[in-house]
Amino acid sequence: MDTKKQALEKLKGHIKPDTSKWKEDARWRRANKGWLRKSQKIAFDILQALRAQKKTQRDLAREINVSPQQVNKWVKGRENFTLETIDRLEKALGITLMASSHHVHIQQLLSHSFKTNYKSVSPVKEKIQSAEGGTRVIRLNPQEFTTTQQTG
Amino acid sequence: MKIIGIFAVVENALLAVQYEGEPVHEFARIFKQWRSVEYLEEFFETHRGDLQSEHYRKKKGLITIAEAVFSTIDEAEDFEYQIKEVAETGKENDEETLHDLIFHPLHKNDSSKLHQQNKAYGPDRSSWLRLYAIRIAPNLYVISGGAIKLTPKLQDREHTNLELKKLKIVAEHLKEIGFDQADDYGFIEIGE
Repeated sequence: MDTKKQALEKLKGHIKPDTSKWKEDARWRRANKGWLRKSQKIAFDILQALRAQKKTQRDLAREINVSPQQVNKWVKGRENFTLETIDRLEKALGITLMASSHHVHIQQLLSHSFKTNYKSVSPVKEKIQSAEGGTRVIRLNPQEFTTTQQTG
Repeated sequence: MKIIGIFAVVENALLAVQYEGEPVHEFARIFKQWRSVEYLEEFFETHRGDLQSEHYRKKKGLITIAEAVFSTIDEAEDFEYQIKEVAETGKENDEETLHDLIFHPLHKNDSSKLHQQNKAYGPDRSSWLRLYAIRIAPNLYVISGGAIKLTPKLQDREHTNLELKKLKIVAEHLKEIGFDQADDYGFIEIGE
């Protein structure tokens, strides 16, 4: 076997410079690892939903009116999805793609039969018919809302 | 399958060929596959039988497709980082950094020997990621391809058998440019 020096000599004129930019990409992936994992999970759920529903990426593209290339980009696992896109995908596929930790926490609380009753029935505004027959709007202070809690 | 170039992945340490029809060299192509959710989901669904075989059940229990996909992405990232680090450590000299840590000789066409070697690493060495390469000098390797290997022998599956063919193609190409003994076939896997 050649020494490394001999081998490199033989390779002269045969080696091309690496233009694939894999090192830069590797650094970028390490720096963005957190949200990339979320994107990968969404991509995986989309693919598994399509598989279960026997749909193609092209079918999904048609349903939500985007190009098949766009759907294919999404399922690679490095798309920084907008909430609007997530919502469209969830509706089209009938699945939840992004359950927030808060949502999961609320679900757990509800499952422990922790009940909260909000006494105030008014939303932000309340219409009151004035004596003159006109209409005026009174904004309610959120602090006026009364809250009681029951456990059971 | 024709080679259209040899590229320096890590200068003076790790080279990779590019085949006709492919947009990038094999090192970049393989790792791109190993982080593509689309590719991995399809691969593990296709090879679900191998993934959930007795072989893996004994080692790790029943592996779901999701677990396989995400552990592959994580392992590939570590693998890529480790190779880069190890190759760069030894690029200035003849120090066998890659060989000592992650390169395992693959005796050509000798699947029984390969099987023995795999078993010799013990049941905990269960990464299925493989890069295939030819050693042309101490700490100087040419990558011919890579695969997710779920079965004991390369010949067991079409996609791994193809990797054997690619090793031979690269060996022939290297012989044409003066490496008469370019037959030190091997595979690179995650070191410990």
